[in-house]
Amino acid sequence: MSQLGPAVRRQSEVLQRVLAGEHAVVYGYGVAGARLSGADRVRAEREWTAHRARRDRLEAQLTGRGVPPTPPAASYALPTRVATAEQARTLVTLLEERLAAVWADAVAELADPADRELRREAAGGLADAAVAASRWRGGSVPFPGLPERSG
Amino acid sequence: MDGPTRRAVLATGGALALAACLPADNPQPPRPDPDLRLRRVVATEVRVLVAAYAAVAAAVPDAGSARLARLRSLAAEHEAHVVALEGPPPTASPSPSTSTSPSASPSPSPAPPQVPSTPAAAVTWLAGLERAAADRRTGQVLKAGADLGRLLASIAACESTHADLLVREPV
Repeated sequence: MSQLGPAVRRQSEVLQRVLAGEHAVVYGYGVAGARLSGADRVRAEREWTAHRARRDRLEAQLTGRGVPPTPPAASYALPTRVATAEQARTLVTLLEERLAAVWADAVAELADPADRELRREAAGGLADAAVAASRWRGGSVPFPGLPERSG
Repeated sequence: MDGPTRRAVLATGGALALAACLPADNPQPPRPDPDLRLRRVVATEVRVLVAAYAAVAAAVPDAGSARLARLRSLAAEHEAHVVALEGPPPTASPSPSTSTSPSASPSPSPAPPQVPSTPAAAVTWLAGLERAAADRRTGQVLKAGADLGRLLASIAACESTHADLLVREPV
């Protein structure tokens, strides 16, 4: 039986969704990092660390709301093969783009005045994923996180 | 709602009934979409960025063609932001006072910016403008409704990306 109020319940559902996204990206960097070397490897490790920090923060925010954070899956179906460095870069670009979309949807869902701080964080999560994607891609896109406006 | 009904409500007493009745006695015009004004504010700010890119392209004398193409591609993304912001609002029908033709829209043209004279300084200047825009945009996200908030957060992310690209890979 849940004692959560509607605002906390809504916030927790959003937090679980972005946590699931961060779990998947952390997993993906683990796979991709093994195929990368040199500066790309260093960058992948830095991004991996940043995503783990954000994951930890999301878990703490859920715990603080009395909601057990959903653990990661044992493994994830990756959207691309990762046999080469090129494929590894493609994978992490794609993962960051997908994560940007998850954060963007969170911004839309956190529109209540009570969500203000979480919404600010969601905008930051979107920006971080967009910047990471652009570094892997080597260029920008006009609407990060909005797949309906891409292409 | 006319007199007898109102008197009847008052006669039965009850603050709730009175409160429920009063707005109907004093109907207000439909409120304008609060996001509409924010859309216009942001569009005007993004136009300033577009103008800044144009000013750099015009003012930096030895900008090579690759550099100009890169600046143009970044500016084009901001032009797409303006279009997204000023697209037809989904519900509001144009009121007579604002239904001027798009070409006559009263977009204030920003004053010509002071562009640093060397390419490196000009690019640093653009990066600073992008970063400031992204910071301001994040504050605007908090004032917007669900859909506009999502769009503004995406525009802010794009501006952060531009600032990062300009600094990391100088044009």
